Amino acid sequence: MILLEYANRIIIETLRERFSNPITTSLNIADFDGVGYRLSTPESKTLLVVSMRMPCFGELLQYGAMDVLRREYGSMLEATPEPGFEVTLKVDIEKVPQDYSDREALIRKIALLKRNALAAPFEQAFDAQIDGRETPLMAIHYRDTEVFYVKAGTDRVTVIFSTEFKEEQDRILGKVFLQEFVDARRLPQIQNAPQVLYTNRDPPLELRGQPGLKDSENIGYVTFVLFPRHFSKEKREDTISKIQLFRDYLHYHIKCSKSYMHSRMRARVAEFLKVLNRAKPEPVNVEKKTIAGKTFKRS
Amino acid sequence: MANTLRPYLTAVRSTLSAAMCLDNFSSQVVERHNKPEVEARMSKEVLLAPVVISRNENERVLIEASVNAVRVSIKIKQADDPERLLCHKFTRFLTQRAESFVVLRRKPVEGYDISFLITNVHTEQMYKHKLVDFILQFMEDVDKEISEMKLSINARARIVAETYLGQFIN
Amino acid sequence: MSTTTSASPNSYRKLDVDNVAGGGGDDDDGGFDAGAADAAASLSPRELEQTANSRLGDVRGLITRGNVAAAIALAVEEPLPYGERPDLKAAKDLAISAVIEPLTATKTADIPNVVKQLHQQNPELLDRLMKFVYRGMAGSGVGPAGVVGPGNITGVTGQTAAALLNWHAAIVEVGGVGTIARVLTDRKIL
Repeated sequence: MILLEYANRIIIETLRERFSNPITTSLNIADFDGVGYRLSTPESKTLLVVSMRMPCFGELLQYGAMDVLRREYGSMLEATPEPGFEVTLKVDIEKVPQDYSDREALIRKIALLKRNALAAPFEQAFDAQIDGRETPLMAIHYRDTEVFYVKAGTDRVTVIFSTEFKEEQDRILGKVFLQEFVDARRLPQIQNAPQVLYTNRDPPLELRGQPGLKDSENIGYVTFVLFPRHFSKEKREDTISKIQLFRDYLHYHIKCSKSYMHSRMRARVAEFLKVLNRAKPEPVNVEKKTIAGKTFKRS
Repeated sequence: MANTLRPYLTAVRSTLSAAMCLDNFSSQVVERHNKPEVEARMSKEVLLAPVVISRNENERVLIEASVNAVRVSIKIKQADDPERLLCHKFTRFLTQRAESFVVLRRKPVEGYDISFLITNVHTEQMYKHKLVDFILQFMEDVDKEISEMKLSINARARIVAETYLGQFIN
Repeated sequence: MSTTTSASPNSYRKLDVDNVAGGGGDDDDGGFDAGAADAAASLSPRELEQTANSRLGDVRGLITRGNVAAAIALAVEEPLPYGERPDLKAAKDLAISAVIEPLTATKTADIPNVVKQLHQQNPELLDRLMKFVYRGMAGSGVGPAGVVGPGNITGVTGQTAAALLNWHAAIVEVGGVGTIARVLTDRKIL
């Protein structure tokens, strides 16, 4: 599994079960980037409450997140979220469509709650660019130490991720991976993909002057340049979903590489031990017999 | 340049075989003690001249012999950052398991990446020529392993990048 | 161990062990470079340097004339600057270059022949040559107490190392593992 799924699988499976078989529920689920969900049935078995906790929601509100959510979830969206959460949806299981594919679509839509909340700045930027307007740099602090920025330009939309590598090893591995991202464009089949640029430590030009930029060797900046063909009507939804998960995708693969190296080293160490044990001579035969028939052990 | 590997390993083999003539020798300085003299370094007369065999600036082997122990230190080739990281991790992995390796030293000698300490006890328990074989095989395999791991990381990086960016086109 | 004591065989009985066998740390020679007490110690560092310098010149001459075996034989001749005193560094560098140059100048195919020649001339030459081979691979520089440590490894280029490794193999071929053992046990450290 190389690509990460952007819909929350736990929610999908839970909802599938609950829709056919409603029971009292109280589930806490985690998602990428510090987002948490809570599925509960506080009032009745058939009224499912889905709440999302998202630290950066305040910023997203500025960029029109509420409009997007209202558009997607309509009447399911609650005006006031549950205490401790930022967004709450109420799903009436009895009113859920009977048709299988409609039901699946609804389940998937609910599972995309995080993605939809984060989609707001992207949608703004894409709309602006298509209209020919530029937007200011939109910053979303979606993680503790990491930020992503979206900006619409005259002929493109730029998305910049600042990512922190907590360990030296991660940084070196990250560099190898990101270098490949930058170089992938030279392949003929990837020529039309978004352009990727990478800098370590020094922020790219678009970010100069931004407040709160950390200056450290462990910070890297990855810039995606999206052209209109990437956010055309058909592609737009997909692009937004995929680009949101970039940072998690990168770090997931860095961790996979580390664990792969570990298992290789462990195998190699076992090999070495085998060779070393070959150096030990066979143990001398331990049991001996005398002529009279007594046996004794010689250690 | 690549064909210095065979002469390099042959030179290491012959030098090691010559140096590995070890005998039990109690400490002359402290009563009732028996230490590997190459580590204790308390009397000059039991230490032999240290010798270096190098293949180029980046790869060398230091062999320090004494009457009852031999210390072999290896500097592994590390050309760039990923290789340095891999070498460092690998040697750390090995030295943490030094107890099961018996002849491995937990800390490498300064200036080198990994060290072995072979004492008279080991040569009594194991065949000398097999010990030399082990060290040579170790040297070869570590280099191989590091370059293989580096290749696999690069291959993985390429696949990761292509898969990710490919999604934007389809 | 020390090979040249001009005194009678029992002179060691008159030696005061505690004074001679120096502990760690002081004058590195302790009591053990009695071997270096011959030709080399009688010369001052300046003289050793001059000898080494003139020898380097002669060696280069022999190389240009194509006589590599003679060049090597001359380069490893006594007196050589043994011992770890830092003021011997210049002399040592010259002496080492005097040996390394003919070694790298020889064609790979000629190496076995030259080694055989030297062996026939005087088997001790091979031992001394082997010592220089190892010294060459260590890179130039004087270290503390004869330990070839990190502080003085200036490194050796791939080419020189390749040539030295070939010489090493050839010498072991003719002289056997004994040549290595004699280098390891020799007290006179270059």
